[in-house]
Amino acid sequence: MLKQIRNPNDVIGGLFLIAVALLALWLCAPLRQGTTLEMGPGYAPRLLCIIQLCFGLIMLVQGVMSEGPPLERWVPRPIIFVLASVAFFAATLERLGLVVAVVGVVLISAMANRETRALQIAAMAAILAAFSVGVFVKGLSLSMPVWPSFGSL
Amino acid sequence: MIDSLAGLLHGLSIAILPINLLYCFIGALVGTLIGVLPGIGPVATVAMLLPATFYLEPTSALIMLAGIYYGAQYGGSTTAILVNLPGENSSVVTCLDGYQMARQGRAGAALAVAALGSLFAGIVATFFIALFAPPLAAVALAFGPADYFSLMVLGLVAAIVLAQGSLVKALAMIILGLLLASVGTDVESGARRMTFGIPDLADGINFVPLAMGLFAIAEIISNLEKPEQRVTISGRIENLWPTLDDFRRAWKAVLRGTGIGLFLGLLPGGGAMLSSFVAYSAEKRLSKQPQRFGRGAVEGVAAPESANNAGAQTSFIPLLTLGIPANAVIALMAGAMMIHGVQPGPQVMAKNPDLFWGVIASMLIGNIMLVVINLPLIRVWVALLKIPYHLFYPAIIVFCCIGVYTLNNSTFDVTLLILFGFVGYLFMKWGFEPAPLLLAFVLGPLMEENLRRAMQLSGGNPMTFVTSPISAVLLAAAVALLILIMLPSFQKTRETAFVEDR
Repeated sequence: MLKQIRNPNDVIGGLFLIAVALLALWLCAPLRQGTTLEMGPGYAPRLLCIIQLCFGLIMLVQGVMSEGPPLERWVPRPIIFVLASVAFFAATLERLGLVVAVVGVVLISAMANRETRALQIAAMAAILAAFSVGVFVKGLSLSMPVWPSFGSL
Repeated sequence: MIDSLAGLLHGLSIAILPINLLYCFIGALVGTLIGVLPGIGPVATVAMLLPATFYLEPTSALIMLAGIYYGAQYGGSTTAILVNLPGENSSVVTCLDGYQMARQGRAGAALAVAALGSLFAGIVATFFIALFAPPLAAVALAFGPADYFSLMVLGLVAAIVLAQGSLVKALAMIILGLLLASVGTDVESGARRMTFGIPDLADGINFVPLAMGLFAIAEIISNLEKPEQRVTISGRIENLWPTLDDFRRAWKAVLRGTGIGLFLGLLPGGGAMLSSFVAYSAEKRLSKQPQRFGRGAVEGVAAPESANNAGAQTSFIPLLTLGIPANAVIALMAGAMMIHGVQPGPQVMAKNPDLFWGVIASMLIGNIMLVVINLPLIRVWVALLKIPYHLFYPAIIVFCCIGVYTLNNSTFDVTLLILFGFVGYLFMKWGFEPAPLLLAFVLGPLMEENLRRAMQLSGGNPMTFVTSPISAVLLAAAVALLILIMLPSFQKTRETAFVEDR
């Protein structure tokens, strides 16, 4: 058992589980518990929170008591740019339309690595924007604004 | 037996409708594509294409999604053999001997053995499903709520036995998945649970942003951390025909691999990947000249490639008969069925025979299409392999965003994608497997419903899970599995099963 435990990873993972369980317990506080016969909306979630708290504590104890590999290093660049590109899409799609949103996603996400050249980025942005409009809006007729709607700005 | 054949024929009449042939072909094509490309797997792809399937008939949609899953097994072998990189997890062991064959100038033979072995396995697996799914569904129809609850417990426990990594972490992922599933409006009381007062959460967390975040987005971030792998293609593909000697050595391996895949695919948590690992080590153990393995033994390609295709297909059986998804891809298909208003489970065969038999029969057609897509067109796929990762990951992000948004025309769901993408990245760093979470998330609402009903039927007595014979057996099996995993000797084999031979 001891061999496969990764020390700091387990401590953080355990703390994460405990934090989520406590948050969920707090959110469930106003929900009626009910009885085993007639379970209220709060019954199952509370039960799950308690089980998860136990698992979190077990992991915490295991993590403290055992040796393990060090935490893996985080590389900030891809995290920031990949997530930011999704955020850009969420923020712009409904107001500025699909074309702006897709071009933005490509430009921002391309910054997550150092290899892509400017010309490649431009080509990808143009192709993907045209493809998205052609397939999703024209082809599958999904309702998304294509261009910025200046009326609402 | 006769019923199965009649069903299969009925299914064929549906699968050969032009529209279904088209979607079967698209599925096989997309499956091959993502199989060939390392860095994008079937889970992410199926999640990405789910929204597009809402506009299709449920049968066409499932035919396409199924094609992606087993098609990826074909494509994965191409990359493994030519580049020594597994295009899919299930092709990891194919690299060992496949790449050696390629270096000896026998890439064509290796590709052909992999494709023909897969074809054989695919056809056998289709008949296997047609034969065994109906009786299993008949058994499951007799289940009461307590039995169903216990079956789902067993399914979730079995799913983690075969997963990698620590047991506590896997169990915690299951609980977290169930907890996430309980967010939203409670079906019975109408109370809103854990919604932070956000109206978008009233219908609960959508499983598409969850799956895409945990698998696709997290995978992209983690792929970009590492320096890009330069693809060097080994050997030219000249002759696609294996020699007579290859055939003589491979056919038994194909048979054994198929058999292993058929059964391991049935297990929750099983499917393509586990099947290929087990088939390879079995072949090596049985061989009279084990030293040939790792040096270009044709059996080392034939067995795992047959096994992963058979396993990918039979993992549909638990979904179609019991309503229990065996792995993350199948969990997504369960979600797709539910969105189309088809509740996965034993009643599918009776209520939606077109869907049930159509999907099964389409596997026959799909496998034949795949051989055609893979072998003659091999040069096209090789050319695609040269596209560097940094030129296609932005496209994956774009399709994920559009897919999530169009589910409900909601930018809130896109915001969830960011959250789950980040959480998925954390899970990778801390060694948590996201697959059990997704399985539990899909089963969560059903488990709660059956738990409540079982309690009402028994007058609030939890002993009902032990006094109902079916439920008692299922729970005993779950406990036995848990004890088995905790035994030190099993821990060792479980570790080596995944690490050995890498």
